[in-house]
Amino acid sequence: MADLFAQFLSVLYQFLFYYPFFMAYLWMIGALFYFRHWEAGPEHRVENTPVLPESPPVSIIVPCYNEGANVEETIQFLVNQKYPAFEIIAVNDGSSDETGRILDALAERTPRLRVVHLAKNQGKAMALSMGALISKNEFLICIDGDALLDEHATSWIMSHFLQGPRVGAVTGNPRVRTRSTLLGKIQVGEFSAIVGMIKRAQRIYGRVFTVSGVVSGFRKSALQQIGYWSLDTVTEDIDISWKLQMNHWDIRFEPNALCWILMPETIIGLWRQRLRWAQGGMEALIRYGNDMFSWRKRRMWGVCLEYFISILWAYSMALVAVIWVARWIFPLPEILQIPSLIPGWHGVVLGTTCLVQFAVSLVIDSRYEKGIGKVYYWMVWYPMAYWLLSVFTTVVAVPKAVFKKHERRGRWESPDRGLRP
Amino acid sequence: MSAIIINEPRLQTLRQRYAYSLVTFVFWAFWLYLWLPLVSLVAWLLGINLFYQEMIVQEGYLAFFELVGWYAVTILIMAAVLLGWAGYNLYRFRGKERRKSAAGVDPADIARQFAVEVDQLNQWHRAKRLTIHHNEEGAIDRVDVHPP
Repeated sequence: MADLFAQFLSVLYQFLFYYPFFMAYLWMIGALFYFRHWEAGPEHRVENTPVLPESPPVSIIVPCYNEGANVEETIQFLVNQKYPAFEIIAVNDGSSDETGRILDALAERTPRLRVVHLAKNQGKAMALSMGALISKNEFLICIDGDALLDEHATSWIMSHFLQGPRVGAVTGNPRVRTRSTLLGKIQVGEFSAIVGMIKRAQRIYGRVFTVSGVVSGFRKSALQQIGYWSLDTVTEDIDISWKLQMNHWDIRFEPNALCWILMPETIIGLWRQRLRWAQGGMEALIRYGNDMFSWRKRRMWGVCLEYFISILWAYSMALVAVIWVARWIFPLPEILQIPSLIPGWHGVVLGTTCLVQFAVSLVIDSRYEKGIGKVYYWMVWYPMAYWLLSVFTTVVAVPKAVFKKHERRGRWESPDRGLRP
Repeated sequence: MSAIIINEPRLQTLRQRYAYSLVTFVFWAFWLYLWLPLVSLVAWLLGINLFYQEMIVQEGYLAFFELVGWYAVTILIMAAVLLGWAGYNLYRFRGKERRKSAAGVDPADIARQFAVEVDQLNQWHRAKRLTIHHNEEGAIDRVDVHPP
């Protein structure tokens, strides 16, 4: 019995080390293949907007909840889209600040802009659904009320819908604007080393975990088939991604669809945001996990398994941390002794892996932002911190998702949006 | 309009500035800590005798080669599986779009989905500004179309 337990522990320790280590390489391999195949070459440069066989009209939907400080700039960027036919629909989700008044005033002088007010705050999923209902067009682009869409983004997103009839959604490439603090800077690196890399790798193995909630395009007939956004989840983006893909719609990533976003620059802001992301992932797993046991859903197995293992990993890590702390407080039986924390050769390869992962992602990303290599200094340890952050958020989020009271609507306040002059 | 990238370190409080510098320093130190074996290797190299004793006589380098060898094999297998899968998909689906493009969704279907009248929906589609009232269940209660 004791032997068995000792064996279990040894497997656990190996899992703790090997999982993040090998995932880093899996992401790197996937991202490099994606880059070579779909990004390299002058025709894939942002400013070389693809020549489209036709330009069907697009509705750009902007859900706004208390975005008084940002929304005017957001709409201004949308008006400048280099695309022949589009309307802008701003959905004021029962804001308590001056968002409604600003939008009404903007609508008067902006021919393309239409404004929908929701009498009461209903949450982002409802705001998006109402935007879709009111929109005239088959193709939608949804962006946050504090984000700035690059002028070429609509054309890049539309190129996928026109090429692939089964493409239900296209996720854009969010770039962090707020970089005054360490937290801001490391998120710049995070969006390239973790988020961008994982999205590229997931595209290679077939399915993505989530579209970006900040900037994504949708085909309305796909949304109609799946019943639009679920109103009762904390992350409408993760939910709709799983719902679309479970119904055999394809999701593509378009790195040239740039969107400049504000991110939290305080620890509490970052924590709230990440906790919500983790809870949303768990909600998706609970909601769609059962349907996975079907051969027809096999293309979702990869992303589902990846997420499931990451939850196991977070809990294993937490368990080992508890044992490690416990042995400082009271003597533990021999069997629970954790092997030395002095890293040895494992530490060398893990540290090197972090450096390599970061270098690869910044090389890929330097295509979209000159001088991004400067964040290397701040970011070099981030891949490690990423795994640490996922331990904490997952451990807290799983019970939150499992024991969540069933509310009708997922509503949340955006966390802080970084330091602004 | 403000610049797209907001990089204004002076906006931080003094406490933030010190705290973040400290964090970065601690993590760099941690990172170096991970490299301890390599640092010791260099130290051993400087004192060749000790190095010879530890690495060659006691075969300390073997652990490293063994480790890296296994890692390399595993990573190669992973790469082969992933790229094989990608290649297979490219080969199978390249230039073959078996499905026709969806015609676009019919307003009547949308109206049904949201439990509203299609005539009303068409009117809303033409409106410049409107206000939607929902009931407690989240269904559309009433829509006010504002004059332009």
